[in-house]
Amino acid sequence: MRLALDGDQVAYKMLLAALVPHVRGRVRHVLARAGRGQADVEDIVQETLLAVHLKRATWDRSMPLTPWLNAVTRHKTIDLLRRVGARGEVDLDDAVETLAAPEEGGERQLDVHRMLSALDGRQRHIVEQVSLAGRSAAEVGGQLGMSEGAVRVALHRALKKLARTFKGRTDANR
Amino acid sequence: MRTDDMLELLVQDLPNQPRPVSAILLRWWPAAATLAGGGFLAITGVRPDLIAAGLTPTLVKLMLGALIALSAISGALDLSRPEAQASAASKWLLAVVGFLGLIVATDLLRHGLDGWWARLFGKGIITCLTLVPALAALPLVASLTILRRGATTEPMAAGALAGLASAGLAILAYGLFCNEDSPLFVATWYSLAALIVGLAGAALGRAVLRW
Repeated sequence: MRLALDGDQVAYKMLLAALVPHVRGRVRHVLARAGRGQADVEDIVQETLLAVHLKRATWDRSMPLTPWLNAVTRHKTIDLLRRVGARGEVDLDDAVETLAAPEEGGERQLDVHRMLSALDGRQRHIVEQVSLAGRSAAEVGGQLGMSEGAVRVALHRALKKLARTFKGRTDANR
Repeated sequence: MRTDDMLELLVQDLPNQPRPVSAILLRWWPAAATLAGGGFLAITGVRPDLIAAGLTPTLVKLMLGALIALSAISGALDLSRPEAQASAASKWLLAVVGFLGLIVATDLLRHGLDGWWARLFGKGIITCLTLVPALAALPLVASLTILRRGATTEPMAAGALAGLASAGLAILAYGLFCNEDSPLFVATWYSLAALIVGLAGAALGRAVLRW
């Protein structure tokens, strides 16, 4: 994490990949303790990773990483439970979804496409090129006739918007 | 989007390095307070009898303001980390409580209980309860705006601490203007004014410090 925070992208990628199973385990644990279905696990994992990324400066380098990571994960999981819980009649929905939808199934994909539609055309293009096609900011810039810096700014705004959409989505789309 | 695809997004965004909350806060929050407090004193001026009244009462006010500001802002900064807890972050406020106790004890030891009523209720109560929150408003908004970059899991407590801290800075300016010197007055009404701002901060924090 320390290397990653200094801007080492390879280290950062390895770190994030290593965090995923841990975060997924924590999310499952918190959901199970709340007596909830596991249908939202992958959504919460992604929302947590986004938060880990956007809030990484709040980790104090002199402290161990795990308590910080667990606090972010717990916060995001409970936040979703609270939003969903306020709607009522959720347990049945979730139970049905858990039975019906395999992990990362069609239902989830649709949800994310709806989220991406919150972005404007250019932001969305950048997000898709980087995430799905695996291009770097410089490559996408060449494609769009934008500077690498401008692509990065657009990408950063898109990520913040995605984080806000994650928060609003539960109320809007359910 | 699969989780692996999202990692690609985050990795490409790594060069946008966020700065630590403390660095931004310690730069802009005092600036907002200086603007509000300095502007206020530029209009009203400090109390004309600042020297004549003896400097001790004013020093007590300034020490109280500084103590509230420092203890509360360090707590608010602490709470910008998600794993921090409200109780631990608030513990420095005990220093403020101790200082208030010292002020009251000094007053009572020196003057006894005779006339404590008159020493408690001065003429400046309304002024104090109005001007301190008014002067704290700008630094409160500034600190909450900056704390939004943090990741507190205790938004009400973090907002309350930001409110108390901003009231502390407001007291630094107001203390140079206020001519009520009774320690009982200062300990009671300055604290109440700070608590009002703290409550406002808690309510605002609950709304704006969620993430």
